[in-house]
This record gives sequence, structure tokens and C-alpha cells, in this order.
Amino acid sequence: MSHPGAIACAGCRHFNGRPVDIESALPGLASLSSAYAAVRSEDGICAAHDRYVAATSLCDRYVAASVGALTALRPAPDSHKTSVRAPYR
Amino acid sequence: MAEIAEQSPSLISARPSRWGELLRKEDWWAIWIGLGLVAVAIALFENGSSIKWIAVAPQKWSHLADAGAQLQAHAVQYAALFLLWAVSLGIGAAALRIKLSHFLPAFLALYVVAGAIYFLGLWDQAAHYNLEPPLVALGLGLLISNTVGAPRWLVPGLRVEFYIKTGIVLLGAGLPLTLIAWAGPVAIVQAAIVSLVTFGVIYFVGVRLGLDRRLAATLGTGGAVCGVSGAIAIGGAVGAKKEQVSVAISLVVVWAIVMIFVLPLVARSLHLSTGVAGAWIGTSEFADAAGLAAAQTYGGYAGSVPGISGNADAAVSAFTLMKVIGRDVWIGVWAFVLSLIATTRWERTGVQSRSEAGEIWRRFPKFVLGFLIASAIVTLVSKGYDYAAYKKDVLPGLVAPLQSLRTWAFTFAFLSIGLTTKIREFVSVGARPFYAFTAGVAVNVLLGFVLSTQVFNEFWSRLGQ
Repeated sequence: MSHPGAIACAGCRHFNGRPVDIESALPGLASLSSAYAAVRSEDGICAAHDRYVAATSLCDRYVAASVGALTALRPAPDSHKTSVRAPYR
Repeated sequence: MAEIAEQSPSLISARPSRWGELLRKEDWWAIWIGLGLVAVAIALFENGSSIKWIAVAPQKWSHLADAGAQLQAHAVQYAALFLLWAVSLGIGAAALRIKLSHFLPAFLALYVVAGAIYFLGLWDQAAHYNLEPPLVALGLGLLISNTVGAPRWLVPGLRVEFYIKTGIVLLGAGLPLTLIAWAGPVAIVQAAIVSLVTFGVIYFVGVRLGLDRRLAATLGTGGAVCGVSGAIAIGGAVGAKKEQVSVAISLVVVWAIVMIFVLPLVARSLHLSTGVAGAWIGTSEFADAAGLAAAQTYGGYAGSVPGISGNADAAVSAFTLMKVIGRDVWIGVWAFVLSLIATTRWERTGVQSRSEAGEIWRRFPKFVLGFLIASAIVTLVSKGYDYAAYKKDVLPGLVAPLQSLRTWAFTFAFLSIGLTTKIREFVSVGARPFYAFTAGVAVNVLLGFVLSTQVFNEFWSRLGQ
């Protein structure tokens, strides 16, 4: 899969790497780990794909975020309450 | 693509700078705070003084009146200790963009309850009633969180990992570097065997049951390497679905909490020495905070439960060597390898990961460096002392006060685990991930037991002597 001209997820409007939003989107994360941990690197939640992705990833659905949005106006991740229940039964 | 064409250079450079990580990640703040305290302790010690006044800790007591008298006599010291923690942790929290006005009241409440639990653990009947501080902190937190719920204003102060990492850096000050060099290779070999087997079991059972490979890998590293941290590291590296990461987190947290109670109980019934039990817990627990709760609980049995040999610190030391040195430090390698496999071998997802060797360092749990540096510094300071002088001067004047601070930090963490764990908020995981992960848990626990109590038994027993 190639992504001509694509720019990394870190700068995409769909990407949210804010620790506070990641912790609220992934219940239990703050119980025994943290979104502020080095192991998380700069990963975040992609609202377009509903995936947890590395900030350096690429995709065809990249939409540049405005400069302000990079720090403040990222889309909030879906609440865990909207997750599909028992998807792997 | 029009938006990409309009991309401004400022946007492209908007990725956080590499150096900025020194202020944005709690691993680094655990290092700054932990090593800062070690540096102050050494400076005072070298000038004939000590931090022991401020590193106050409860002493054994028999009656409530004794405990009350202790508290009254040292009230100023406890207030000063609160200020020390509030300032150092508060600076770290502010750098992590947690509002100080929210963090400090929450931390004050946490400090008061942690102090009460610390006091309770020093009751001379505590072991008789199984009132070990880690279990009491965890149990109380779980009870509150899953009944009335922790109040919202308390949440900003519940930073499990921040406290546990700070405590681990301080723990380094009590472990000679020579001991780490002696035991580290064995810990790495034992941990490598168990990690590879556990990952293999979870991954292949999961795939066999029809799970997506990304979910199977996320579950596998959660069980085999470093629990929830492993799950999020690999989830990000392979681009797992958000709900897959949630499933892995839920399973790890539930099993980790079960193991906090089960592992010390079984080890106690088998009268394992503290070093051996610590090694088993380090091999078979899933998260640092959960494992330290179990290991510290077991260390508390030394001297109070008949038939358990070894010193109290050996359980925590063996656990740390096994878990932190043997398992945690490899998470970047797992992330790099699995990211490479996901990119080249697994089905496409629409998001393409970049597999770079730099991933190994980016995901490295940096607090381990603080642990090693603290150990090296205190080893160097102690070098000029013979054993008698070490016990007379260095231990009470330098090492013991740092151990006391470590116990405080761990107690903050244990209480926070319970208060942040809301079982009803976990996603429903489904049967297949549960079976896959549970198969790995069973193999992990049995293999860890055999390696700790049979293959390397003599080695881990010596650690506690």
C-alpha cells in the first residue's frame, strides 16, 4: 500500500494523541499504566479508522489539522460506552 | 490531497520535539524526582546530616493510643513530608498538564489515607489479620471505586504509574549495582523463556480461535511483557482497533488484580522464601504496580509468618530484577518486531505503520535508567565503607530514609490502583479473547513457578539471605 504525498498521522485532523483523551477512551489504562508513559511513544486514536495508531503512521484519509487543532481541538475519542459489546464472542 | 498540498511547514514540524519528551513523559519526571531526592539525601549524608527527619515513617505499635502518640510526636515531620511530596510530584504533574489546583487537594486526601494504611500495616497484629498495606490499600480502593465510586475531585491525584515509577527509581538506591549485575543475567534468561512461551501461547490460541492477529499480538504482549503498558505499546505499533486495545487492557487489569491476591497466598501456603516468591511474582504478574503490591505483601510475611525465610526486601528486589530488568526493558524490541511483521505480513488496515528501529528507544521505559543510576550512585557512595560501617552509618543515614520514601510512593500507587479500577466500565471482552489470554496466564504461572522454585531456586533463595 502506498500513500503518495501522505503526511504522518501526527498532523491529521482525525488523530488525537492527548493523554487525557486517550485515558478516557481506554478504560483501565490509568489503573495499571498511563497515557503519559514513555512506552506509549506518541501514539493516538484515529477517529477515521477507529484505531489506535502510531503518530508516524500513514494513510490515504489524511486531512491536515489546523495548527490550533494540533494542541486543542482534536476530535474527542468515542466514549468507551459506545464500543460494540463483546465483539469477539 | 488538497489539504496536504496546502500543508504549512509549521504543521509538519508540529510533532513534539525529541527533547520535549524530557518534560512531557512521566518516566522522565519519575527520574527527576527520584534522583533529585537521592541527590539531596547524599548531599546531606556527606555533610554529616540526613534526610531521615523528613522521611518519616510509622513504627511498630500495639495499641491505638501508641499510634496516636507517635502521630502527635511526629506531626510536624508528617506535614513536612507532605510538602516535600506535594512540591516534587506537583511540579511533575503540572508539567504533565494536570492542573495543580486539581492535583494538590486530591493528593492531600491520598496522602492522608495512605498514611493511615501505612500506620495500620505497622500494627503488631496486622500480619495475623492479613492487613498488609498493599492489600488493604488495594482492597479499600476497589471497594470505594466499585460501590459509591471515587469522587471526581480525587481523580487527578490518582496517578498509579507516576508514583510507582518514582518508587522504583528510589528502590534503585537500596539495590547495589553489583547485585543487579549478578542477578540481572539470570532474570533476563528466566524472563525471556517465560515471555516468549506466554506470548506464543496467547497468540497462537487466539489466532486458532479466529481472533484478528493484531488483537492476538496485543493480548500476547499484555500477558507476556509488561501488562497494560505492553498492550498499548503493541496496540499502537501494529495499529490495532481501539476496541481491541480496550479488550486487552480489561483482561490484563482483571487478571493482574486477581494475581495480586493469589500469588502471595499460594507462595505463603508453600512457604517459599522471599527471594523465590519475588522471582515468581516478577515472572507471572502482568504489571509493575500490581506485581510490586504482591511482592511487598509477601516481603511483609518475612519474620511474621512462620516458615518463610529470607528478608523482607528480597521479594521486592527479586520482583524488580525479574520484571523491570528481565521483561519491561524489551518492550521496544517487541514493538519494532511486531510492527515489522504487521506491516509486511498481516492484512492491510488502511493505516500503514512505519517500522523503524528508533521505535526501540522511543518506547523504552526510561524510568529504568533512573533505577540503574540511583543504584550506581549509592553503590559508589557506599564504596569506602566496610560492612560494619555501612550498617552503622550508611544504612540508617542514607539508604533507610530513601527506602521509607519508596514505601510512601508505592502506597500512593497501590491505593490509586483500587480507586481507578472500575470493573463496570471495562468493555465486555467476549469469550475467545478471554480463553486465549487465560491459556497464557495458566502457562505463565506454571512455567514461572517451575523456573523460580526448581530451575533457579538456589539462585533466588540466595538473594534473600
